[in-house]
Amino acid sequence: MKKIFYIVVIALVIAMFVGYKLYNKPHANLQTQKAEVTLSASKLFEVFDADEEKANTLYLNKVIEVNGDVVEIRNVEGNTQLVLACGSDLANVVCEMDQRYIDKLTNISPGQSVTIRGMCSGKLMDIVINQSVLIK
Amino acid sequence: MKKIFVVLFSVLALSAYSQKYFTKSGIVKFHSDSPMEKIEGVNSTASSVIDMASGKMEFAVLINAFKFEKALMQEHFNENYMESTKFPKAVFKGEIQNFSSVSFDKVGKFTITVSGEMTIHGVKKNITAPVDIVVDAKGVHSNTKFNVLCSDYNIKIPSLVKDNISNEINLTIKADYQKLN
Repeated sequence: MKKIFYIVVIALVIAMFVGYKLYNKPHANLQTQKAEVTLSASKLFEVFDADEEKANTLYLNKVIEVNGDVVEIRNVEGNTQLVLACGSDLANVVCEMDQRYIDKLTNISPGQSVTIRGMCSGKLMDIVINQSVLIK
Repeated sequence: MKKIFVVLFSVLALSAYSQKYFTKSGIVKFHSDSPMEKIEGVNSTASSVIDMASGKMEFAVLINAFKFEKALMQEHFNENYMESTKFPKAVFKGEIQNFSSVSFDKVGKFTITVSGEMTIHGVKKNITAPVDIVVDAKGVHSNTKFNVLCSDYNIKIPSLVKDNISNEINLTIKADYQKLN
């Protein structure tokens, strides 16, 4: 009887520990994850502009690597956003950066060509990429 | 020579009459307050256009762009509740009521009422909300707070977590609009 009691207690403790770890698990770290697709910001915009539904099946909620020229670096509500040109007058590719790797951006300025890895969230006017990290 | 002048003048006149205002970095915060837990998500890439020639206003957010403190919450929000791969956006299409008496040309503070169709999780519902507007040298700034019900948009909250997630969600939306040239 005592043995069963101990087993149950240990099982419960393990379950609580796992639950705690899961609840507090860290955000996806794209620095260490591989991208499924690599393409230019212009190409990304082209695909979205031509057929948004098709672009979503290709890129939505997927880790992608985008290269392009920096138009602007801005801060909105504590989020650092790197804006890339994509060949359109009205639209850009906006990469919301992972705040854990912000210091990688200290030497980046508008006009530079960069490669960003992030999770594609889709397109409104701009194409938005989240949890982004600077690759080069 | 005269033709060029006429065309140029028309183009200038038209652009002076352009009444579109837009933002691509609007902020949407949502808050769920329940006995067991407070949940907050922030989206800072909301897109919106207001056309003062027609009074129409459109506002959209990408669901995957909401950030939560807890990664697990962000995952559940996207995969289980909002199904963001199926429904990547939440969109509002509506109008400013009595827009002809509203002006964004003068510096000032006032409140407008916006009503129209909100689409969340693929479900459409008419809503109306007051929006506080501040017009200054930097542009047109909007601020609004209203609530939505998960049940109105077919967002199912399992009974197991009904004390952790409230059916009533508080939304706070702020946007700084620039005139579209």
